Amino acid sequence: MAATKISDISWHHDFPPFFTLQPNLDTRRKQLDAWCSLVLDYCRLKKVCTFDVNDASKFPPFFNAKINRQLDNNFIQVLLEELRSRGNIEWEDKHKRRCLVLWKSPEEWAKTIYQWITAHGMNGTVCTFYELLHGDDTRSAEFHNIDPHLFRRVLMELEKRGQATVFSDNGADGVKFS
Amino acid sequence: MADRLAWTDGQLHFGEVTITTQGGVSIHDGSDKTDYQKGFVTLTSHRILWKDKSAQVELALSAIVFCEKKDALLTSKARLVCTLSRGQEPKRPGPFSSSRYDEIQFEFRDGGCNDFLRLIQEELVKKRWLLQPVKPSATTTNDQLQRTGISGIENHLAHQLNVQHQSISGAFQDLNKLMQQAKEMVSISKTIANKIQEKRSDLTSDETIRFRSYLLSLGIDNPVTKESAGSQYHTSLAKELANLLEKALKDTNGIMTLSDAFCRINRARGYELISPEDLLNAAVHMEELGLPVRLRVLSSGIKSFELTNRNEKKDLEEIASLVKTVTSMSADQLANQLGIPVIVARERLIAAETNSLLCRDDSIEGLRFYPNLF
Repeated sequence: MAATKISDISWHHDFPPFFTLQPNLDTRRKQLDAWCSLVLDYCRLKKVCTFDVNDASKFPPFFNAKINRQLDNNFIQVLLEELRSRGNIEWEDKHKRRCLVLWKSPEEWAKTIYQWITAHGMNGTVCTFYELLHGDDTRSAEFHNIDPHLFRRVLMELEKRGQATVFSDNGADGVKFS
Repeated sequence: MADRLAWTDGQLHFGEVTITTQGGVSIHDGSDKTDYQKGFVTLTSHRILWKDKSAQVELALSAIVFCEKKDALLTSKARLVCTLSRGQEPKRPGPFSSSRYDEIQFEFRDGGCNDFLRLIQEELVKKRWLLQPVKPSATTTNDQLQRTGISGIENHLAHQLNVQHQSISGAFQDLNKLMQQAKEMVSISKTIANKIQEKRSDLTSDETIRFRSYLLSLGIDNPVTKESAGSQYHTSLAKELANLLEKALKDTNGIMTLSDAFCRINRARGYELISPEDLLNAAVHMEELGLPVRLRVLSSGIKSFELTNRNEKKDLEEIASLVKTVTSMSADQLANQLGIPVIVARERLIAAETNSLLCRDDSIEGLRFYPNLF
């Protein structure tokens, strides 16, 4: 994680018009493209997997103190809707306050996790969510420390394919890969 | 001018002196006979008084321009003819409300005309009424009497109305005179222009230039008016406007708001001003006439004039490159730089934005435009 500054990911971030929703539709398309890739790049770098609209003002890409600009709520709504239509976020509640940020699609995640499990010969073993997400063994895995909500969403994808079975025992969530 | 006769109570004013009296005198309005026959006429230092059993009237000497005698004929006795000035002062109540003549004739049935004429001419020379201008005592008392009650209020209102009426008609008289003189100026400038044309070879270029500058300072030498153009008014006006605006537009980045144009046009005309409505009607005709100037409605709804041959794309690119040199620009700054109204500058910037040349930054610092780097 060498690049931590947002301006390293996107030069647009220091460009004041970037923070104003452009009325020209051609320009707006390019602007939203730039915003989507900025948000996803940022989330990938910081391993941000969820986003809460209530915390939007604290989300670093959404403001730039250097040029004294920040996104207004309308812009954030437009941007989130754009991300959703591209399949990059999924709403977790009806009121569209919380969402999963999918800088990797659930299918890709499922593939990544299943490959890791297979590579480590853990097929048929029962694992708890905790040891998979935070255990020492998975420290090098891409899914290490990802949000539990996202993890559950990915396991649902694996279940659908019949590659995993999720169960719950006394409040402890577990999964068995086949 | 028998309407200059006013009712009187026959009392002498302060400082007024009786000169002579003569009986058997009849009043004629011009040569027309009146009801005032065979009365007593009195000449004072201020007035001619006339009375019989039923009426008393007066004529101020100040109203008389001159007097002459008309000798006796077969049908009439000797008459004194008094030519009267057209009065400026408000008419006082009298027996006649109007008259076709500008003279009053006194017919001396019982003689005495010669003496009367001599004395009145002396008085007209002395002009004693100027030395001791006196208010007719009768009127003052009347005024005081009528200052109270409903009639007093009515009188007051009537008086005010009268004063207003006078000042209004006075003002319009001035305006009419101005118009007349302006028309003369136009004809003069036309003659000068014609002379220049005729004697072009004789005049040195210096003189020609000087003459031309005179003409220019007079404004447009032959403005189109409703009278001169009739039904073609708006189309002719459109042509005149196009002529006038074409040069001005070249100096102002090829675009000018209707209100600016309106001011310039009327400034150039100087008189025979056109109304905003005429301007708009004329502007509508411009396009169909194939004139070098046309009306254009900006996206903000502002109407403006622009040169027909204006290259929109090139223009906007120029603005975009202007913005690029200073990184970002507000409508104010562009307006200052190009010398155009802010509202037009804003429209230009938005047009450039619509063409993807610029993009906007709308923050608490105001709306600014940046080169489109997206």
